[in-house]
Amino acid sequence: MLTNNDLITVPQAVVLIILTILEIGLLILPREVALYANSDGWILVIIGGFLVFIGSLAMSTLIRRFPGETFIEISSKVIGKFFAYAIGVVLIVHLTLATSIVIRTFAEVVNAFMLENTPREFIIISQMLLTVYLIRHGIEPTARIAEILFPILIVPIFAMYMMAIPKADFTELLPVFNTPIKSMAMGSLNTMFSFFGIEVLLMLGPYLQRPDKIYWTMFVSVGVATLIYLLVVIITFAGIGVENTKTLIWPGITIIRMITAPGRIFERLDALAMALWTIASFTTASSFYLTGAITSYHLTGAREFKFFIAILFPWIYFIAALPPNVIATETLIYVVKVVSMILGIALPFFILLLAIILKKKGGTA
Amino acid sequence: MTNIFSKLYNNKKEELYFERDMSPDKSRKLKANIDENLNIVQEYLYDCDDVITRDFYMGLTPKHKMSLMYIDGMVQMTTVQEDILKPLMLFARQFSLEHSVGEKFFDMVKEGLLTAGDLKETDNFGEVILGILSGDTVLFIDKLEKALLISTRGWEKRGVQEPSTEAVIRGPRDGFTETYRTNVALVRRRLKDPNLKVKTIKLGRHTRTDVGIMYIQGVAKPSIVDEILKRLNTIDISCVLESGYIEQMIEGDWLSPFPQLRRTERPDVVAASLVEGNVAILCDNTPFALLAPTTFLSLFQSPEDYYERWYIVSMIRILRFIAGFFALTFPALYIAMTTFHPGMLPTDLALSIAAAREGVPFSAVLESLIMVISLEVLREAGVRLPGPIGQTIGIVGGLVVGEAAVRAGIVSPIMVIVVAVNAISSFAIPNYSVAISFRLLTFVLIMLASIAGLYGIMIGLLGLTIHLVTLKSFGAHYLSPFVSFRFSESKDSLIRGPLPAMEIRPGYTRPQDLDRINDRRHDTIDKAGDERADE
Repeated sequence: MLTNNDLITVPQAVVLIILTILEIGLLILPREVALYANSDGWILVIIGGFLVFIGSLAMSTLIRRFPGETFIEISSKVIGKFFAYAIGVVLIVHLTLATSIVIRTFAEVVNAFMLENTPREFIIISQMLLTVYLIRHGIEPTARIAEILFPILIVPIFAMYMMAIPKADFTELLPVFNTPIKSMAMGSLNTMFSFFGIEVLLMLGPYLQRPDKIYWTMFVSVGVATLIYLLVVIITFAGIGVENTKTLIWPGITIIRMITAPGRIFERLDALAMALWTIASFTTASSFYLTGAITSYHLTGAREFKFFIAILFPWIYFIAALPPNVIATETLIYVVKVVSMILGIALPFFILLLAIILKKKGGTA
Repeated sequence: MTNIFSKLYNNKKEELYFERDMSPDKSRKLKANIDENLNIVQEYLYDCDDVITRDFYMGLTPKHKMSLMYIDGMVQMTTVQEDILKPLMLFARQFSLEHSVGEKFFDMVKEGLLTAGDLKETDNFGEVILGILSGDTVLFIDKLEKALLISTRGWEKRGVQEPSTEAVIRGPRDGFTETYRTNVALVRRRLKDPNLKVKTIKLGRHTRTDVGIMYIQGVAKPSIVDEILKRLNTIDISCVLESGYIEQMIEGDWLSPFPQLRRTERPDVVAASLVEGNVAILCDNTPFALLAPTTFLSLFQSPEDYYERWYIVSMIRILRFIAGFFALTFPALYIAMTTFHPGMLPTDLALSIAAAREGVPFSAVLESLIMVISLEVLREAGVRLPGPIGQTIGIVGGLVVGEAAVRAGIVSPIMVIVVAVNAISSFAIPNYSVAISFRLLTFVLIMLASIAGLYGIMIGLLGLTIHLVTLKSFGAHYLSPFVSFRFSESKDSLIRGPLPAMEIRPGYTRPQDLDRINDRRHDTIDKAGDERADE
């Protein structure tokens, strides 16, 4: 079936959100949950995923309440033009930052695991150009790309982690429920940050073909992302041990280093994993970049959104090239993650609450 | 694109037939005097020695002067003699004519005397000249401002033969020929459906080539048919010698390395595609028909896919996709693995590659470029040379030179294997146009792999995916059914499901009538029937 060029279908929205979420979390989530809850880390993933879904209900309800309207329009109606525009600017800055750190992290991981001597700038620029090549086609093609790349990415990742099972020691997951409630709570909150990227739905609201199915869309996407994170955390814990996981920067990739493909087709899979990683990073970066450009387009009411792709390009590059080392990148990632949850969960909740109190509703779209 | 077309054709949407030829205007009407008419025709066709004029008169007295004009070699002489000249000159003498002058005389000649099968009246020089040039015979009658165009087309032509570019093991052996009408008939013979429509237009200022579009009304989406007609009507070039001219003029994205129309030499492929909701474009003077809209998937299909049983076909299809992947990436993967990621290879293999490469003076990149380019040269040389010599080139080039190059230490034996696998894989893709564009893209990937290893290959493949995803062929997604995925369509994608299970037509053509199987008769064929047959 041919879809309207501007609208994305339910499966497309689902895969787009999943692919936006899955990225940096895959790399560092095992370490973070191990630090908070040791062998109970995998429980944090489930709780975190559940909390993210609950949190996203506010955003979903907001989109259903104002069908076909952009987030800027919705917030101008509820909290007035000035605050709406301020939020818009914050969103643009946030999405630009998010694009930058995704690309920066990717460049760092590639430098560490695949191409040691390649200049980081080359990787950043090539990845950005590829992203621009995609997003200049608009929203629906970006969703279509996600639809195509989803199985290409998920099936090999799944297969790769499955290959680690023969070497895994599942007693590492014991003991269960041994963590104090306080660190469980803190850990769950922290896990939620790994789902950063759900805020792109806020900007995609008016482009959904079936806004009435948004709860279902959100449920499936957060659910699938949680399951994949769970798989990665469990295999990483069982494969390299909880204590080792704590000391590694990117345990999600390190575990792939120790896998040998059956039949010894490949001695080491890390380069192959990095090739897949290119896909994951590319989809995430392109959806952040695209939503950034679209937010600017909504904010200014310009006729073309492509113009903003060019405007954001140098900023994304500079921010991506800015952090001097991995530690600085990690700090930046943390900031972006926290802002992401504020924008994706707290802000929509606040606006929804005000909208209910002020009895503001969307026109009959 | 669509906008431009609708703007261009806002006013003349209804018009199907455009006069852009060099033949005279249709507004120039025929005169009553036959000599005057002949003089005017001579004005146009002077110095055309192949035009034959035969003056004669009907009956016993030279009262009814007539004149035949045709081009020698483009008409069937038996028709001209038996069905035109004989009735008018001989039979007419044996009876007294009912009418001897004016309209009634003309109708008598047209309806009562000429025994030729297909004729029509005309009153202007435009049609007369075009008729003569197309192989029709024109009959001028004195004192009448009309002429008769008698269809006598017939020339030396190749018979229906087995198509050489799309051979099958199981399936019909007839292929299109260079004659438009024969080709249309070959399709019509397979689809005895009144809804099968054929619309013919003439393209090319000089060539006036017959170009026909075929579709099944009620299946093909009208907007696609209209779009193709619109695009065909924008073609205003001097000549259309092959359907390739049409393909290149109407494709949406001419920067793409991929063909956006599928070409075929086989009437059964055209018939099957028409039933799926495609539109076929047939062109005179070439055995290659075009099909639109096209998907990437259909370029990986062979007509046999639907004639064989589904297990076998499914396996072959998967093999073709693997072959396609190797045709695209194999040399690039080799370069990436050996120069950037030797750790990925099993130690034994890495050692044997290193041993084989010992003494080779070039880098892996240069080595593979040398090999891939020389292979392309060999392929090209083999195509142009006549059959037996072409095979010799293959043996000399492939075996002798390859072996010698390895012995001389210019290339490593593993490189020969890599390039050979790459080439053979590309030949396993059924569609030549795609195979060739894959071989072109191989060079791009080799370059990318030499710059950034596997990451470069991924950049290349992702870029290719973006291009394919955004590419459209006449409104249909090129990567359909993988985009806007629906489970029911997956039965005819990477695998081919059993025919009884394929209940709907593919969605990319957006057919009006989706049902492929109308009543589920296959459900009634059960095991009991087999047992009854046993008894």
